Parts: sequence; C-alpha cells; structure tokens
Amino acid sequence: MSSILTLTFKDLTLLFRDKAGLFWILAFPLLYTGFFGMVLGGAGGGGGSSGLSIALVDEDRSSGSAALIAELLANDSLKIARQEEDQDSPVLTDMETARMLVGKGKRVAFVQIPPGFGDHPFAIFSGETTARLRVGVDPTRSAEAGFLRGILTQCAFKATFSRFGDRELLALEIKAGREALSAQTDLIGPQKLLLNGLLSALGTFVEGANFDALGLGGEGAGMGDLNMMEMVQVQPDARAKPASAFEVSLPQGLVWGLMGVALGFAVSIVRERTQGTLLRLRTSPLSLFQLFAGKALACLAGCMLTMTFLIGVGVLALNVRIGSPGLLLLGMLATSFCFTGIMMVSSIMGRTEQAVAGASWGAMMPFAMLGGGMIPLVAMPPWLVSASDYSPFKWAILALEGAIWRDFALADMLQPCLILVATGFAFYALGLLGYRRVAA
Amino acid sequence: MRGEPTLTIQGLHKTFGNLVAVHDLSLEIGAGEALGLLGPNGAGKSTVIAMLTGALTPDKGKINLQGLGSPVDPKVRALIGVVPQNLALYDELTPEENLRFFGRLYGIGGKELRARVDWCLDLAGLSSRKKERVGTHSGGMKRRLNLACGLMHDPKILICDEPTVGVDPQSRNHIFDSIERLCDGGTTLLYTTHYMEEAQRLCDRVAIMDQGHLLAIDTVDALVEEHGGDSLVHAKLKAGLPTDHQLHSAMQGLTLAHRTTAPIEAVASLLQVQDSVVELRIDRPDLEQVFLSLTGRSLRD
Ligand SMILES: Nc1ncnc2c1ncn2[C@@H]1O[C@H](COP(=O)(O)OP(=O)(O)OP(=O)(O)O)[C@@H](O)[C@H]1O
Ligand SMILES: [Mg+2]
Repeated sequence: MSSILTLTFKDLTLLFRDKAGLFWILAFPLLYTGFFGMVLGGAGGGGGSSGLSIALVDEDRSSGSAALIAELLANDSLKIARQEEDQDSPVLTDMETARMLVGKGKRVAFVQIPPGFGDHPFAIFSGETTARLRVGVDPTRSAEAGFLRGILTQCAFKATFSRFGDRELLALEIKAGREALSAQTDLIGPQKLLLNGLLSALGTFVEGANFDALGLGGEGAGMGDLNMMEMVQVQPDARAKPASAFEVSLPQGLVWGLMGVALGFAVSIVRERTQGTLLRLRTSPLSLFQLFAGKALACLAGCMLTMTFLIGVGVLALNVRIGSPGLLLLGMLATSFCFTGIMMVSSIMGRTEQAVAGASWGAMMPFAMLGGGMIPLVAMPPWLVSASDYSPFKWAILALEGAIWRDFALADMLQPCLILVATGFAFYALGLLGYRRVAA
Repeated sequence: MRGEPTLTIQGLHKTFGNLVAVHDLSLEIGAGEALGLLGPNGAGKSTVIAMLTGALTPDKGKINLQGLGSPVDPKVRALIGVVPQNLALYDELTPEENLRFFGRLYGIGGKELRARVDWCLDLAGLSSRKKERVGTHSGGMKRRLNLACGLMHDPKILICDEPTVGVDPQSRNHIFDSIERLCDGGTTLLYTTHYMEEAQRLCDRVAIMDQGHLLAIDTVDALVEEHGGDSLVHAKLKAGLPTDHQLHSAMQGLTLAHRTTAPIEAVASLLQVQDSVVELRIDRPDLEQVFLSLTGRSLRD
C-alpha cells in the first residue's frame, strides 16, 4: 500500500506542477463558471435579462401606493410578475407569498408598501418608520440590492411629484398636515413647533416655487437614497431551484475541470511509456496492478482536490450555497470514480501524448455537451434531457446539482451515484484490457 | 567468468510481428563480472534488457537471476538496478525528488533513504543542483541522474543500456568512473553500447550481437586474437627504403601502411634505417575489426 501511495503522491505532484494542465483543471472551470453564471444572469427561477423580478405587496391601497406601483410597472429595469390566479390585477400578492417567492429564489426581492404609505406623501423622505417601504432581497442576490434601492428611490420621487405636481393639491396637503399636527397629542411642544415651522416653510415654498427648476419632476437624480426604505432579512427556503445561475454553472465548471484532470492523467500514462519511466516502474518490485492502482488513486484524489478547490471558490466568491455537504461528498466521490474510469479509457486512445489528448477531447466533447456541460440540464428541452441519459457527464452534473441545490435525498442521489460508479468500473476495466494491446 | 553465474539466460527468443528481435540467446554472467553487450542499432540489445528486467515477456527461453528465478518475481526484480537507454526521469521533479521516489518504490525509507539520496546525488555530481527541476538540467546531468536512479536501492546487478549516449567527454568520464567504482565494489554489470572503446575499457568479457543473433562472446583479447586479424604498422619516412628492404614493396611514396601478424618484426626492420623515420605507429586490431570480420559491416554505419 505504501508504494501505491508513493505513486499517488508523485502523480499528484506532477499534475499540479504542470502549468498548462492547471489551466484546464482550475482556471478554465472557474472562468466557465463565472462567465456562464453571469450570462445566464443571476436568478435561477425569476431572473432573466429583461430586468430584476420583484414581488410587490400593496397593503396601503391608497392613491399614493397606486402612483408608486404605476411608476414601478413603467420602469424597464423591473419585472413585476403577476400572480397566476390574479390575471387582471397587476398588483400582486400578500406578504406570505412574497416572502416565499423570494425565499425560493423565484424573485430577486419583494417590495412591501405598508399601510399609511399614501397618507403622508413626504413620509417617505422623512424616514418615518411606519410609512417606509420594506424591501427584502434574496441574500444570494445582494449584489443587486443597491441597484434595486436606486430604482425604488427614483420611482418614489416620480410618484410623489406626479401626484403633487399640482400646487393646489400640495398646498392643501400642507394645510392638512398642519391641522393633523395640532391634533397630535403625543408630540411634545418643541417637536410640534419644529414640524409646524417646517410645514409653514414648505407651504411658503410651494406657493412660490418653480418645480421644474428644482428638477424634481425629472429623474429624481441627485437626491440620493433618503432612507425611504427599510431592508428586511429574507431567509432562504428549502428550494429545488438554484438560487443563482452560479449554482448551475458551477457543476458544469466542475465537470470541465474533471475532464482536465482525467485527461492530464491519461496523458501522463502515455508519457510514462514514451519517456521510459514506465520501464523503470516495471523494473521495480511493483506489480502492474499496483502501478495502475497508484494511477487510479492519484486520479481519484486529483478529482477530489480539484472539486474541493473549485467548490470552495464557488462558495466563498460566488455565494453558492451547498444544500447538503454530506451528499455533496458522496456525489464528488462517485463523480471522481467515473472520471478515473474515463482517464483509463482515454489513456489507450493513442500511442503518443498528442494522439491521446486529441482523441480524448474529441470523444469527450460530444458527451460533455449532451450531458449538460454546455447547455445546462435545467435549460434543456425534455427530449434532450432523456437523450442525455447516455452521457456520464449528465449523471455527474446531476449528482453534484442534487447535493448543491436540487434538494436530493439520499435515495435520489443513489441513482446517479450508482450509474457513475458502474460507469467508472466499466471504463476502468476497458482501459486495462486495452492497455495490454497498446503497450505491447 | 569470475565466479558462480549471477545471471543465466537460456534460449531467449523474442519476435515483434515478423521481426526477430532476439534469436535464441544463451549466456551467463558470473558474480562480479562486467559483461559488455556490443552491437549496432537494432541489434536487439534493449530488447534483451527489457526481458531481463521483467518489462517484456520473452516468447521462449529462461532467465535465472542468482538462482532465485525469473524477473517475473518482484523479489528477483529488486536485485536489479536498471539504467534505461531513454532518460527515465520525471522532468517536473527535482533530482532529489526523483531519487526519493524511486528509492521508496523499493521500500527504502527514513534515514536510509536520506543517506542513499545523498550518496546518489554525490555520485551524479548533482548535490549543488538537487533542488532544481530536472527539466532545467543539461543532457549530461540528466544522464548522470539516470544512472543514479538505478542505483538507489544498491542493486547486486546493474544493467546499463547505453548510459553515455549523447554526453560530453567530461560527463562520460564521470559516468564511467562511477561504474568502474561499482564494479570494483563487486557489482555485477551488464553494459550495452556501440562504443567499442567503452566495452574494451570496462568489460571483462564482451558479447557481440547483430540482428538478434549472438555472434561471439569472450574476453576482448581473445576476441581480437581470434577475429581481429592483422596489426597495422604505419610509418612516415624522409627518404624511400632501399630496394632490398623487406618492406620496400609496401611503401607508397614516403608513407608505409603494412598489415602483418608480426608487427614487432616489421618495426625492428624499420629501425635499421631509423635516420629516415619521422613517424611510427602500430595499430593493434580492436573490437571494431572484430565486428567487421564477424559481420562484414562496420559497428557504426
Ligand atoms: N516494441 C516494439 N515493437 C516492435 N518492434 C520493436 C519493439 N521494440 C524493438 N523493436 C524492434 O526490435 C529490434 C531490436 O530493437 P532494440 O531496441 O532491442 O535494438 P538495440 O540493439 O537496443 O538498438 P539501439 O542501439 O538502436 O538502441 C529493432 O528492429 C526494433 O525496431
Ligand atoms: Mg537500445
């Protein structure tokens, strides 16, 4: 056993010292994951290139909230999907559903318009707590939270001033405000004085003001985020949907990395033969069985290390959440097993390093594409998904996705894992048989 | 042969398709003996070695090492150190790592491993470059390391397949001295080459192979005696020889190239006219000539 470990350690050292190989094993999968994750555009369920999808909850149902909703609906950067069962009303849902939609990753965020929002049109700028919009963003999409706040601020400004663009209305509102203020009993004297003074000043200002010169009728730019909204926590729910496109592109990136590992080792078997180290190995007291066990173990360990690294980057940098670490380990092992078999078969696809590398890429690419290495399984039409059953890459991706976001139970994991292990064994045996022919 | 045979080969035969690479080869190597295997490209030398080391299965024939059996047995293989013709090294590892790896394969570990690695680095003259990747080393350094890797487990029998191919005279001498020291220490040696001067200097006996056949095997002297033919007496004179001189007819202008079984006599007769001798040389027949007379071809063509 110790000589097998010696072989394994040597092979891993060689693998990670080969810079060109490292590109395919680590850099390419990361680029792939990052690039396709970005192209697929963030949200798994709700996301598209057509805008941030949000759920809207109107608990105010005033003219004020209606104005805001009208602005939000008119905004190109937002996508406000209706409830299926609520076809004629663009306004949308209750709080419970909204939280669920965001928790499952079907919407990037919800926006809650609280009761009383429309009563105090300026409350949104004063930061009065009851009247603030409540916004809950999917924690995996926190990058878009700032963007969303900007849009909401802009819409709120427009809504406010479209409603009170009419000076008389505004003056009336201020008068009503003063009356309400004097009726307030729970405000102490100085507070009342302060607010009264503010409202008077505002009334004077409104009467003589030129709104256009202030630019408020425009984009609301330059006003900044006036603390008009409150961000609330959303707990991610149990989900059978990827929370972000990175959770789809990461398993794809992983199988590309594994292809790199398998190919690296396949080529290393040929290299041992062509450069003569195989002769030395065969002259040593090791048996042929031990030699191949060493290669297999090295390939297995190489696959595991590579995946660990890539998944680590996914979790730390791309916010990928691992549904079940235990099952992920199982999926990784089964996948590594399969790619060890693929390595063995690849190694007999030619007599020179170039021939093996060329033939293996050529043979693996169609299977990789079919198996979801390029078009993700979730985006495939059903007929393609069933065709992909014949690609081990599909089962590898499924096993990894199952543990990352598909919420697989152990029983669900068994099918892909067993297929992977069986394929691995079959390929390994095939490779060993073929080896006798090629190496003769 | 010096002692009991360490290596016995009987009727060894190997074909690749229609090509007979090794034809019915039988020979013995005694304990502590150095046997040279001399032959041109494609003679079958490396094929013999591959079978001796267990890397290739013979079609027919028996190999026995130290009475323990064939190299199919890992215990028997552990007796052999091999220096392959192609550099068998990992370029991405350092010399130290290469040596350590090959040492571990033979179950060497701990202090012993460190001591062996240092010994081998010293032998290869690579102690100062032990931490640089082999890929950055010169051809000569790689050759020296290739030899050292075969010595990590202190083998009883050393099999070298053209260990000095493509190196400068300095590295070549280094390798040569190392092997000579090992032979003096009692290591049994099988050494293939197509440089006859290497075989002549290093080997107790030489086997000559061509196209898979063993043509002759004996000490260098005996081979030369039997197959070498005449010596060549070569001279340059200031003036022609007298017409009655016994070598007069062999003169071509003022130079003499005379083939004879009795070179000393010829020289003695030349010294009678020593005033006119400018240059005088006797070329003894060597393995090159042995090979020529055995095969009708030159060793390196
Ligand atoms: N694996 C192989 N498959 C087919 N033919 C082979 C194989 N190995 C060797 N041969 C052939 O067997 C013959 C003997 O080759 P071998 O390598 O033993 O010669 P050699 O004496 O070592 O030559 P050199 O001095 O060039 O190293 C050659 O004709 C060679 O082409
Ligand atoms: Mg050879």
